[in-house]
Amino acid sequence: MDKIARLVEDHFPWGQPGYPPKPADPADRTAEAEKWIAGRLQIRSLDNVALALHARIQKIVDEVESTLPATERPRFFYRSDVSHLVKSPKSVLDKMVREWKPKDGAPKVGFDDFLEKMDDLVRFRIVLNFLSDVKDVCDKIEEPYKCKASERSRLTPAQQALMGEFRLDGNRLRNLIRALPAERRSAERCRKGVFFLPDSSVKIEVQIQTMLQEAWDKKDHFLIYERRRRGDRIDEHHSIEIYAMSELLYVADLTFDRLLDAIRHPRRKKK
Amino acid sequence: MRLRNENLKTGKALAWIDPAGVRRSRVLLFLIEGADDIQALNEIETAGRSRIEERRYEGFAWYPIADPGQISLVDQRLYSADIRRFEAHEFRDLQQEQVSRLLSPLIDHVANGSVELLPRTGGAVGGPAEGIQFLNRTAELAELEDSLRKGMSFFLQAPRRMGKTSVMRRLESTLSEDFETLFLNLERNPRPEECAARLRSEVTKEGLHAARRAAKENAYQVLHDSVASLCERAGKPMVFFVDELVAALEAIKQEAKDESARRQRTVSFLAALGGPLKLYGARMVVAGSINWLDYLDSELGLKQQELPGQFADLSRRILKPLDLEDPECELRRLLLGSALVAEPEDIAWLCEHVDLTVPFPAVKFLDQVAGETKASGNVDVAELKLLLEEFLRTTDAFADFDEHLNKKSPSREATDAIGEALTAIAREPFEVGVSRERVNTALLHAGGKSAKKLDTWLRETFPVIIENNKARFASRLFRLWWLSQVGEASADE
Repeated sequence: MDKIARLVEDHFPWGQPGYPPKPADPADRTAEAEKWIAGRLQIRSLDNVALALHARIQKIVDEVESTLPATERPRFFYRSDVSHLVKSPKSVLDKMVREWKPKDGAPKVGFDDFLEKMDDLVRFRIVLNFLSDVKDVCDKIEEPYKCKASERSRLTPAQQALMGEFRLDGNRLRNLIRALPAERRSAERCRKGVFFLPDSSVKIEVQIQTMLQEAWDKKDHFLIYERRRRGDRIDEHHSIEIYAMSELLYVADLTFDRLLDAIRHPRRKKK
Repeated sequence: MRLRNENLKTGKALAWIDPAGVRRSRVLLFLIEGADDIQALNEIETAGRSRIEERRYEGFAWYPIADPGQISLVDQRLYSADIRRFEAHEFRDLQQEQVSRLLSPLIDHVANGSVELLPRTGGAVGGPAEGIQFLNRTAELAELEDSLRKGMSFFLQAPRRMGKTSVMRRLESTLSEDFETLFLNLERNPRPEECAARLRSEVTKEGLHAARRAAKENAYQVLHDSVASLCERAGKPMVFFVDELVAALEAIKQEAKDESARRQRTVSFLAALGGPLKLYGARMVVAGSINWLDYLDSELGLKQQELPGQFADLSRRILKPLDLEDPECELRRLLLGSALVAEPEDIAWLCEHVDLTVPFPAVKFLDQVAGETKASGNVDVAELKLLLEEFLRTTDAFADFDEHLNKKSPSREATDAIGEALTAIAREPFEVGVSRERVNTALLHAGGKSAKKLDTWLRETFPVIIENNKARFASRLFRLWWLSQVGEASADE
């Protein structure tokens, strides 16, 4: 029996109020648990909540873009990825299992509380061009949550609307771009924030990153992440190289940003 | 009221990709602005899913969208040019059932490959409402279609501007697969020669000028032969639609030297038209605002049983004022089709003043509202009131009623009496109306003998409903227009 089947077998609350009865055939139980998870995800319309958050953040992105010189605006925003807003039931089970040690008994994130406990159950990504674009947008997103009540009048309508509707966990976006080497747990680079509606405990993760950071993520997803999830053996050297590629692309991002700054301020360059 | 914000980027798309791979894909995109739209978006999705499931439509799928310009990234068979945008806000505060009523026809149109999805105010041009512009008469249409399929012919009667021609056009389109149909507008070709030439041209494919020359010799024979040829060569059963029959009878009246000649020509005309139809078992739908039998009886002493051909068999069907099952829903459909976003107070005001019972003026008024909204960006209820006042004062949308009252009523006295009756009805609150007795008193001012005839004329010409011994208007907007015509304000405002 694989680890997911064991988790479902031992910890899915079969037959309890709100849960289906246990299928007679053990082979059907994981599918039944996935079906139940799908139902829970659909009832909460989590994707529509995420879209509402995206609409609010998009306005802030538009505001930042509008402050750029007209010639720079077309290069600023690359894309939003809302194609996989809500984790699939299979991914939910994967994630539960990843953090579960059978010897410890019940999983840390269980069937009764996965909606509240999983930070990235619902998520989307905003991809911008330069590192400084990411910083500018993130500063604007964080500003309403960081500023004092007396300073709120300086906020833009888009900032006020975002803050009025959504809470930001810790009032800040985590910075996985400038984390010190010793603090880095993975090669992933982005800014990450967890938002939620005031009357809901469901969290929505927002990632903001550069095009190169997303490019790295896409390759890592295929070369390492998916294979690891499937339980395939990962060559140690592959891990080392993919980590190094993230560092390399960060250096590329820094260089591109410096060049951007140079063409924006030619006089400073002469000095 | 404001224009739809089509610059919003985030939303949920209901995309349809033709499972047969023949027709071009379609996308209904419901845009959102923030958390206040979540509930509406949930309702839209629930209603959409339920319709698709109920009708077992294939090819539909929902997608989250962050940038409509990149819809092809979702599926390469989707194009941004095929997106029809809405704001979820337009469905806000509606019950699930209301959302379903608005959304279901839209989904049906997409699934059926219809190009047009919603009626729009810009479509108000005064002609018959066709296609999507045709407002709901589902039950009546089904009944009329059924009668025609069973071989019956009828005279469709309704006051002016109630949609007779639109109903005939819709029947023509619905039946065209199983029947050969022909539409003859006698208001456009009222003289027998013109009518004969028009049909001859249809048969021989010769130019109208040449057909006129032939018809000049013997109009009735040409008319008869043309109708017979059309019936004979039709590969399918024939349905002949005749609009405004009385216009032709009036044209004969103008040209006839005396009563006897008029009577003879009238019968010859009806025989030439109705004879071949009867012979070939064709169906006929005749429409008019005036009861043609009363007209023939009072003008020529002709009874229906004396009439030739198919005309002897016509049964009378009254087309009642548009009985919208859910007037608010129809109004919202029109607003959706016109990209106008109304707040609840706008909707409440519009429902109180601008019903679609007499569709053309209402649609025309909403078109003015749309124009003003485009110009100023926003129109509130106070401005709607001003716009309506100006509209009622200046519009020609009711000109048809005005012309009938002033030019086609039997006499000057009759015009005054009808006017008095209309004012008496208008002065009472819309839902209440006035006693029939009060209307009769007004009509009696035209002279005792003609009161009954005028009562019929009143109901045949204007959107007046008689129920429970009370007379009231079928249209709120008509009532307001009439009050403005006589210089009075609505008492229930």
